[in-house]
Amino acid sequence: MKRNNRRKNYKREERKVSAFEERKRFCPFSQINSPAIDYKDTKLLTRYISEKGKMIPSRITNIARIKQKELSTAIKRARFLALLSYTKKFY
Amino acid sequence: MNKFEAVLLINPDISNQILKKEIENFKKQISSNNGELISNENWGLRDLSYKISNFKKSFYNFFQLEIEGNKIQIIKKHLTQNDHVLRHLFIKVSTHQELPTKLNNEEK
Repeated sequence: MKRNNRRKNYKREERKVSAFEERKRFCPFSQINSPAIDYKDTKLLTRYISEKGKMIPSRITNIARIKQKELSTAIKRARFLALLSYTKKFY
Repeated sequence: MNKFEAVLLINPDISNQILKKEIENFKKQISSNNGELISNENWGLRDLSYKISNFKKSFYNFFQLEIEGNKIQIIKKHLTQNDHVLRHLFIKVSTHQELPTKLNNEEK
């Protein structure tokens, strides 16, 4: 409780300068100029895939719940057409 | 009538004449089932990210259609019996995209 009270006493100008200030998080797909999710656009999909080819959870990438569902179907379609790999083991 | 997208993966060992025949056969099946083919795009020979029946490459073909949804089952039956078609995918879409499509390997 002590710590919370101390935070509230900061002025707004001080908060902006501080390096440990929490930045506002936003979903990259629900903005005005955000790109459309498509299974053919593999360059966009590879941003949301780990090194081993797994999908990255939405609590890390901050994607909205509905958009995450669209993205997961798009990745699965791209995997079926062999545009992406299920596991990144090269033959 | 609904809007659909289709992608076909075709065997890479085929000669060019047979490949054209396969695509024309697919177009005939659409027209015989009262469908309309809006556009056709050839993505060419591309590397697969994993082996499909011991092939490392395949021909990609992309179609935009308008068909009643019930008749797609008839077309799928013909594709599964065809040995030259490795894989096929049909997807229902609200609006058709503008061509050409964005692909990763085009920039290289």
